[in-house]
Amino acid sequence: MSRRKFLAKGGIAAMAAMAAMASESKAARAPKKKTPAPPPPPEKPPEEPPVTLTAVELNLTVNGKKISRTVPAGRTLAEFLKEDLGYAGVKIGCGHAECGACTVLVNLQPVYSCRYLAVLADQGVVETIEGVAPAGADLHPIQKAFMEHDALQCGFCTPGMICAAKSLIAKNPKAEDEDIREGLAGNLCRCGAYQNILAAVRSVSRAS
Amino acid sequence: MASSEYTEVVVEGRKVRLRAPAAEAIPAYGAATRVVGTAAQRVDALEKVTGRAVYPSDLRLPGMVHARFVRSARAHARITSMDLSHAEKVPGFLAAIGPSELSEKSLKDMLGRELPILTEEPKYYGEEILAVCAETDDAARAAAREVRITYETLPFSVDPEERVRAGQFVGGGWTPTGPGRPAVYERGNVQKAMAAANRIIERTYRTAPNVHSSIEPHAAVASYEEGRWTVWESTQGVFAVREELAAMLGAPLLSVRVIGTHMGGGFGSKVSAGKYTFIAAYLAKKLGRPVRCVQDRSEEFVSPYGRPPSVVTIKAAVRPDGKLLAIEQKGIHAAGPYGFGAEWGHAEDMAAEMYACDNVRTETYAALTHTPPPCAMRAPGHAQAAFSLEQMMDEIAREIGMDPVEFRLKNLPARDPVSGKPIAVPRGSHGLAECLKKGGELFQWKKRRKETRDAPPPRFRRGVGVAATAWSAGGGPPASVVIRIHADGVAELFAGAADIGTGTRTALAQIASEETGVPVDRIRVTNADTALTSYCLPSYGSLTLASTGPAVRRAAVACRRQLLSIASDILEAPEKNIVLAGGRATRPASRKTPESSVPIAKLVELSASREIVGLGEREGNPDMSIRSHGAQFVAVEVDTETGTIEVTDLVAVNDSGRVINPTMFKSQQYGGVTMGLGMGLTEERVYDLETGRPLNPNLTDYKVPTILDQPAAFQAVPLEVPYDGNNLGAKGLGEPPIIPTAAAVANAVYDAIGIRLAALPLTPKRVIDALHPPESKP
Repeated sequence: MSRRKFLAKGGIAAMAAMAAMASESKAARAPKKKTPAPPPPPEKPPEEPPVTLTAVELNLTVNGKKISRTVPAGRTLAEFLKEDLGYAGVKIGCGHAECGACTVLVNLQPVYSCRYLAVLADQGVVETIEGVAPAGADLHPIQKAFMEHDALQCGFCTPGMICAAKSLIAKNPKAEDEDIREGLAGNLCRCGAYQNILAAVRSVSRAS
Repeated sequence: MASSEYTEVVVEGRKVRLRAPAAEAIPAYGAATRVVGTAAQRVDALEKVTGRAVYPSDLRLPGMVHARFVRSARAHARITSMDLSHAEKVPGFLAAIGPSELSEKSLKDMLGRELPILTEEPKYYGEEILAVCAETDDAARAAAREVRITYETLPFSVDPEERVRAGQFVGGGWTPTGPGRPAVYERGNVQKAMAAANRIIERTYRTAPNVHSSIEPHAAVASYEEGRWTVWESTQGVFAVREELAAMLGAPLLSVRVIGTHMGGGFGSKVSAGKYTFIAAYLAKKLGRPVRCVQDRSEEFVSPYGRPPSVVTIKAAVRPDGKLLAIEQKGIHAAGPYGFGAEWGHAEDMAAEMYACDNVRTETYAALTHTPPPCAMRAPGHAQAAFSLEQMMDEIAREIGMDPVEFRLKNLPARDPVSGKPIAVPRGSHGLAECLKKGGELFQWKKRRKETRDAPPPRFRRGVGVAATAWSAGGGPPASVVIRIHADGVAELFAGAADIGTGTRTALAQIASEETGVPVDRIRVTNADTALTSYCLPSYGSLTLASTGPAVRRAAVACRRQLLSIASDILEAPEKNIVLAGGRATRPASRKTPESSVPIAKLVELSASREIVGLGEREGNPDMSIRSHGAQFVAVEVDTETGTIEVTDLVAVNDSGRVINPTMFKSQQYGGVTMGLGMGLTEERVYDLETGRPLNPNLTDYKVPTILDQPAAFQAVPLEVPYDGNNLGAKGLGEPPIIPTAAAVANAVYDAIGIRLAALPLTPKRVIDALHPPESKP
């Protein structure tokens, strides 16, 4: 079942809201090349169960790999990435979009994946910490900077922090200290490595 | 320095003096070290920045199932019925465990007080009643929600002072007293000294309940196969978890293996096995499948963790020349309904130990409140005590017209005022004096103090403050370490200690590298696994580096001797002329012969055992009071219209003896201070007095500091005051940086607005209420 078909059949407020959110988030991001439409659904076998609201088909790119999966409509992106695809780098610190440990990038925007439905990332490009390094490189400059500046302690917030930092530098390559603080204010580090995180991200910024 | 030769123990009612094992002295480091003292990169940094570091909460095992707790919705109640019929119908439901099944099981605190794992009479909101288990975490949550419980509500109180008035308390601190009796410490004669003094200052201070809020919640995954458990636990101490879990399971120690390689923060809350640990292990055996039990964030706020709130009334007498004559302190703290963990709330030690004062009396009441049992949280007791003691020091200094730094220097103790033991202060220097002097210079204390004093009062008022700390951080036995150097020149270091983010693995690798010459990046550290490493205490109390570090050096020296012996034969040079560094044994060039060297790998290959093995044990400590010291200087700007306090400048200076890695030393300072700023300015678990529920069990309303809350100018300064009480010369640092922060900020706020804020956190509302007392408002 394609997502379009799913949406067409599900004329329910929750789904409408979800679709509105999806288009909103699409409108917000920079225009991108349109992803080719998914292949038409195969011939409908007679025994296919009736369409329900509980499943949705996702087509997206995760860490450079094209993924097509059917997931429950309520599946969060964190669950999809961590439980279905096995990315252990997606950390769950609160489950309520408060701590930022689960931050991943959807079309280079940082999102709290624990409170972001997987369906919202349909047709999108998703990066977890496992995929933040540029193709062919072992590490992203921000990862190197985190190592060099000791910008971590227990390391549990680190994957989300690095994803958020990558996004902020991508959007603002000349980020100043204040931009960095604003950009990372949604990611908590209870060990309190903030000074070194600031130094690490500043070292990657082309400001000054 | 002489080690303490005997430990007194009681064996079958008989006092026995155990001799410390004879340990050959290892000389202190020479003037120059190659690896120790350098800013080596964290050995696990790569794993952590790539997401390859797997934490216990990340673990997914084949066939794994999920356990969740059903928690009390009352602060105090008797359960009249439990209906599981709906829960059992949830698809994927596997099992439920109730209190009757575990009536014999309990957690025990350090003084042997018990906490039931599950209960039919919950005594705080959120107390665990049942555990349910299901195929998926979602199903386990759904099943937990579907359990129908009816309660008979009982009276409760979350207010420690009210409970003490009602006689519902035990003694706080390390000496348990019976119910209804406070813990009392006394030296000299406070009454007499107070009567004779002409300057007495008294004030009551309040600290708030804080929650550890590690970003990784409490988590355990347990599997049971062939009579043995393997438990992956987010913990500060794998051996403590093993001992406690084995005892609760009624199983031999070796039937439980605990692994805690990576853990996402603990701060004192992951020192022991939790209820979740037991439930995971118990169900793993019962169901024959791996069981994961991880707490939600909201559960972190109602579990037996957190720094208990305190109410401390402190009274001091001082001579006009600045000599402290007497301190009297009455401290009340919440201890939860069971008294379990009451020792973690005590605020009396610091008042008794910190300064030279002949007459001291402290009384500590651990109130039996209907709140979650307390737990050690970074500098337990001291962080609370410093808020009152260090503000009192400031207040007295002002009262007698003395600089607060000078006043502290005047009252430094040469001996521990409680134990009478000399404080390890080599070469006539005192760690605290050095910290105060260095911090004062860097902060330009005298100049800035005068500036703020002379400034006119605009809307934004500036002030500066100082506070100090001392924390017993000598470490000590037990700790044993094994180092194995293999024929490819790679060394393995086996240490029981958890690395809780402090950089333990890295520091230990540096210490091993210094002696063996194996580069840090060729040392693989295997730690925190009871099956592979030797016993040690949990990583708490700022003891890890000073306990395990010297054992590593001893093991590394044992390896070094073997390497040098072989190298000496091959290089035809006396051992003392050979340098082990950079993965090679090198005989430097002399006038007659050019330099020659051989790889360490070759030495190992040629050794009789084809592997160089070194064992190191931690020697005893000198019979002294071993303290880490620190001082913090703070500048604030107080907005008198909004009540906002901004910490603009902060200088933290810490003396913990030898610095093994200056970068990670500073990381500890930054981190501790940051947590101190949270305690000082924003963090409070708020209870609803009507229901006893916490009102802010989440990270939006319980405000831990963010990167926006860092002081604009923030300096962390390691200060190496020489110490020779162990073979490294290092003391601990984890706790000291948090201790003085809140008091230093409060002192600066006083300097800015002339009002002493006596309750934490220092919120804008408290500032506004202080500036415009509610009764004076129109």
